[in-house]
Amino acid sequence: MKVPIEWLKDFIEINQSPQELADGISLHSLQVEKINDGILEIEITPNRADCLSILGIAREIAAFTNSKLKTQKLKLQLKTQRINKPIEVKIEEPKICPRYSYRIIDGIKIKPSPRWMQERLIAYGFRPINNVVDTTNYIMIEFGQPLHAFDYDKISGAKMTIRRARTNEKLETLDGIIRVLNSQAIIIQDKDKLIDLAGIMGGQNSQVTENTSTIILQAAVFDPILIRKTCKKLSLQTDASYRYERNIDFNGTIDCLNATADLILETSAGQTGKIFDLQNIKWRPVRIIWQPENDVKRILGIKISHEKILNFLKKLEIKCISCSVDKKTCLMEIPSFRHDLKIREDLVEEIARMHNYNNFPISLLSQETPPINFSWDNLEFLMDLLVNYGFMQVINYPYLSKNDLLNANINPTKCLEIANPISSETRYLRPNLQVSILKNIAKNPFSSEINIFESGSIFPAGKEVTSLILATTQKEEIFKQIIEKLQQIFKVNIDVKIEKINNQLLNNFKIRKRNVYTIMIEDIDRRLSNVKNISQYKLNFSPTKYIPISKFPPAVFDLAFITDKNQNSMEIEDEIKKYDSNIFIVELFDEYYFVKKNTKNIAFHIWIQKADNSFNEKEITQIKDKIIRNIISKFKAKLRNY
Amino acid sequence: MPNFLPKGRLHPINIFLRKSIIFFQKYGFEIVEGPEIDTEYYNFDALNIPRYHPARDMQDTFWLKDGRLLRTHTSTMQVRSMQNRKPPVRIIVPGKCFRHEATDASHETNFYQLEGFAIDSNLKISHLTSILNKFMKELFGPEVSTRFRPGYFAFVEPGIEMDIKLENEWQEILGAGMIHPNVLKNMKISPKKYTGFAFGMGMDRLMMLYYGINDIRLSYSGDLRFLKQF
Repeated sequence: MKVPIEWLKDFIEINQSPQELADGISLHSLQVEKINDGILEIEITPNRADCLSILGIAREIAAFTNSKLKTQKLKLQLKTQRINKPIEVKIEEPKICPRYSYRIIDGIKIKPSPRWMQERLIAYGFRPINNVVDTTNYIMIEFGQPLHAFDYDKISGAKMTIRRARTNEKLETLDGIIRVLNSQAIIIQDKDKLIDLAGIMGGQNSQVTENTSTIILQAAVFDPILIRKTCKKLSLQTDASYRYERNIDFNGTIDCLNATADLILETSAGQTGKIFDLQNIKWRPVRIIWQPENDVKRILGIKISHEKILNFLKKLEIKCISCSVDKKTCLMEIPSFRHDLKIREDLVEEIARMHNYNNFPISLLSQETPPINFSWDNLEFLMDLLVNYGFMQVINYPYLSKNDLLNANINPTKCLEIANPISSETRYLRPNLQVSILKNIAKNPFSSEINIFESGSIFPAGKEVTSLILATTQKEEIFKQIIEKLQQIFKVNIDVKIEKINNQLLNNFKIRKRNVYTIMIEDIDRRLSNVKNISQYKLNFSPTKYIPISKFPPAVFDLAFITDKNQNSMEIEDEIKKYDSNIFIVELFDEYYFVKKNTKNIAFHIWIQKADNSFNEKEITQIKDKIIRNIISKFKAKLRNY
Repeated sequence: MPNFLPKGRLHPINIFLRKSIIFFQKYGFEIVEGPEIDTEYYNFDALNIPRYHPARDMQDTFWLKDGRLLRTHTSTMQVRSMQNRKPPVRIIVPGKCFRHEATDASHETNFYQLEGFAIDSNLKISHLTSILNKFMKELFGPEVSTRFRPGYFAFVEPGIEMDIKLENEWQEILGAGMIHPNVLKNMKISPKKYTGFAFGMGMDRLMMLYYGINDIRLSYSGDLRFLKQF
């Protein structure tokens, strides 16, 4: 929510800088995501509906800065008059509308709202419309109570009935859309038509227009769950429904009707009648029994005195109703705007955030040896093995499109389907790992050899299994070696077959390489779970700085050198990277020794890229020459020609 | 061990998971894994997130046609793993999670989470903040500044979020808190006798901050230009 600091100042003295204020709010109540031109952008979590208002935020600031809210005075002496325009309001089912407060304002002139109001509405994100609509929005932002104004003269029979909609009942809302309703929706009806989708959006047929002269001003409380169900069903969310579904202050209606009438009459002629207040459900404050010092100690691990705890809570308007003589047990009363406080742990949280989470002592858990998860450890060790055989790990999405499946000759109806995919790309769950791995190969045309593996979940026939796949664009022999090695290490029989991907499949996936082999092992984690005493997998954690990859294709060339046999290849690899900022991957792909000559041959794939273009031959040659010159002189190496 | 060229590499997410897991194993956390497809009960209801609660909006969900869902967090394993365990426990749950979100450079429909929780007779929130501080300093160095703020997750109370300061900016990195009494009850554990803490962090985000990666989608692109850099 956007909260202009200047608006907060109506409620509370603010002496800190915007940054200090934002830090305070973040550390004690809600996260301030941005400060922009004196406007705080605060993320209001779903539990803190009370903070969906300027007043709510001001209350929080008052609590953690230990200051007092300014008392709001009505600017005009609000005189109510007898208005001879009756309206009869009936609530069919108390639960759907626990409270309905309203008043009539007569003799209004509809015109633009004052500039200061428009500016604040714009800062919050509303488009100004007219003095009546703007004022209802303004008060909602300020106090969190949604309000609605009906044009009195458009309501037939001077009658309003609040009830559930009937199945397929229709109503045209303010935005001109005809809404088809069911019994989860709360509507208001006059003598002969629906006039309002209660708590969500007004009806087109009862809205305030420039000809309106009498309004019914409504401040009501509606059932949060019904509002939410209807919003979900209609895919509609408004500022009013957002507040209603998070639960509003039951006791806020009267003050808001007064403040609204006050502001409307400040800018327009007119008079207001008295407030009618229908309460079908009696509001009872929430009370919590707890043991302040004990509960705080038990959960937070710190000792705070009884007085200090109660004082923290008092600032949050949480009252202590009674205390046992030994002060161990207390009964607390929660203010009507705090729907999130229900149990003693909730009170402990209030203490914790007022105290500041960064002021807790250090208490580190003891070091211990956990039970071993063999299937995890073994699978990780297996991956290390594959890495040693030159395989790169890929991780793919679990989803596939219909096209992907058809390309792989898989019948989509046999796959698990997502009911609400984001796009056609996320519609099916993969039945094997092969489809994604073929897509990976297609995506890397620059790489002369591709050796990749993935271990992940697949979903064949509605089940979920962990599976492993390896793919190579080189010779299939490597798979034989790997399988043999696995059987030798894990002492399990791995019955897999090496599959050569046929040309039709390669073409379907637009793979230009002709030799692509895969092996797949299903249920890999379970197969390995009974194998014990395998060595530990390794951790290779180093602070590499990632170089962003370009939108333009890279150029890849190879260089081979003959160096002293003791020359560290890594050192040359690192050195090459320094010669040109366009070099982003240097990959040793060959290394062998000439024993008699005390030398060795090393060869590198060198990947270069530019952020804004691709390379021409001349540029590549220049970079190549520079590398060759430098490596030869620095390492006393020789260039080896192929 | 054989040594083939060019060298293979682990995916950077896996490197990060290993680093994290090894840290928590030192403190007795056991690795537990769970299914990626799960039920509404374990993903939401068991975690104190009833069907029509606005807290569900925090985790937009992929639903399967058969009524199950793709887990939105590995917190699904809190109640699941306690069905055959008794406190004291220390558990970590690595795994892939899914969110029904439009993707961009910082949002993905799938990501890796490391969930951790502990239940014992004498656990305080300070145990939670202390171990998380220690962990972040292990990842980003002893000098890194950290801070805790109030946070809201329906399955913890109190709930907190943790930030680390990188290049002079606070970065939000994880959510945590003391396990909500309702969740303990769903585990058939008495909230009067035991307390617990839980945390959940996105590995993708930590990895991106650590290596300076600007686009979360690269992780799942299978692009070797990306994968060969780690």
